[in-house]
Amino acid sequence: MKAVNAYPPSLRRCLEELQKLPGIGPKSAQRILFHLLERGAGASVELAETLLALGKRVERCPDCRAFKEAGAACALCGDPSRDGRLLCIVESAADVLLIEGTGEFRGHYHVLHGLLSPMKGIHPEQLGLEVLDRRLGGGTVEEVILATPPTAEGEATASYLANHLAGRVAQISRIAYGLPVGTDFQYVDTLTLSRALSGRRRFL
Amino acid sequence: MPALSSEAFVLLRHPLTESSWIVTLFTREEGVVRAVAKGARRTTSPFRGALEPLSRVRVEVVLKEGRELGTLRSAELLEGSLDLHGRWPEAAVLMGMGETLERALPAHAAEEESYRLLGAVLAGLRAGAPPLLAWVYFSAWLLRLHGVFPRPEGCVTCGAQGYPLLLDLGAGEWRCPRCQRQRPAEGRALTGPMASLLEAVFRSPLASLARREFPQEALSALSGMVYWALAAYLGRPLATWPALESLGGAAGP
Ligand SMILES: [Zn+2]
Ligand SMILES: [Zn+2]
Repeated sequence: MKAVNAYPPSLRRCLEELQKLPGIGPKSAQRILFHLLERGAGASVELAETLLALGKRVERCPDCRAFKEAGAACALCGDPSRDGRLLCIVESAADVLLIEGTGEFRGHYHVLHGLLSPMKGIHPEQLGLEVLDRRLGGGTVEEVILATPPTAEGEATASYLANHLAGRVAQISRIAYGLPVGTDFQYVDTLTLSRALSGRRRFL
Repeated sequence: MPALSSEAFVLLRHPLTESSWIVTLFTREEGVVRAVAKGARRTTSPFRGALEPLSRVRVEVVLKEGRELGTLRSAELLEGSLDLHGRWPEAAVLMGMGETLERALPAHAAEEESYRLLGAVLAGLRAGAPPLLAWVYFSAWLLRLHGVFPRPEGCVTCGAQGYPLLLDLGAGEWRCPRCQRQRPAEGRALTGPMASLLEAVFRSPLASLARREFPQEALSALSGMVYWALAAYLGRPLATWPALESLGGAAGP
């Protein structure tokens, strides 16, 4: 992309910044950039102000580590209709949204902000265990659900957490490994199938 | 296009794009091979579930002349590793072995014995070998296979049979304290109990050691010595060391 060098510096800088975002390559960055320019100065200013507020007004909740508006109560922890006996541990704040989308879970959350991966520099100290311990110390939580993904890091993190939590809570559960809904057995890999079998539940 | 077809262990995987991984494979036929696994991060990928670290797979990799990075054509899972990742601290041993092999093995050079060692350690862990013993077994054997941690058979200079013996890491030789003039730091001496543990490691499969009791103090000291030698061999400490410390071995360098 030699032509980029012909762009004005502000434009080039914006292209560079956009490409640091996940899933944005040079082409997408250009598309976003020109779209903003076409819409006029107002569009970029509005976006810039929104982003500025994101950086300044959004913080981690000290109790669940999900994101919340600075100075306001956490929409999750502050909701009295939620079941304080259930605590679901997830890798990221995006996972909270996914689980909320199912409508199946009305308990509380703990967001790890990563999975154990010493190679990537993610160690137990980064998982907010002191926050978790404080919440469990309150004595209300009866069941912790380990909802990390069924990957090497997800499994390792779940087992590390299970060791850490043993004896501090009545029940520790792991989300089930299952078959994708609507899938024919012929198209399922053997690992998923074997995990679905070992994780079977009583039907009758 | 020539394709490498081999059994392999997945050592590591890094995201390349939103949908693809770069996987580091320890193939039986050609040693370490790196390849792009296109689309592997999608839930519909045929590679899905087969590329978790320390899984044993059968792979086909297309390698182009003069290019370091190949393209993964197929990967069939032979033995998964999620059972062991789901057991802490066994998972820490798997992470440590993945990093060590990725750093210790040269690319495109088969190492049949190191390949078998990895399989044996995974089997040993499944048979219930204590994780610290498994880690010591792996690192002592890997260093021995690479010529830097020989089986101790007395002082190589004067032939004295007693202990302690000191490891001359540069030469890969054991010497008695009288012959080894450069004194290594505290704790780098092989005592009698450590030597009999090391002898068991070099003589028996890990799975068969799973049922034997070893003095914890000797195991811990030996782990410290082996890790010191490993870090020196690799040129710097392991990133996974903080996780391995939870196994209860002696402090690293
Ligand atoms: Zn909260
Ligand atoms: Zn001597």
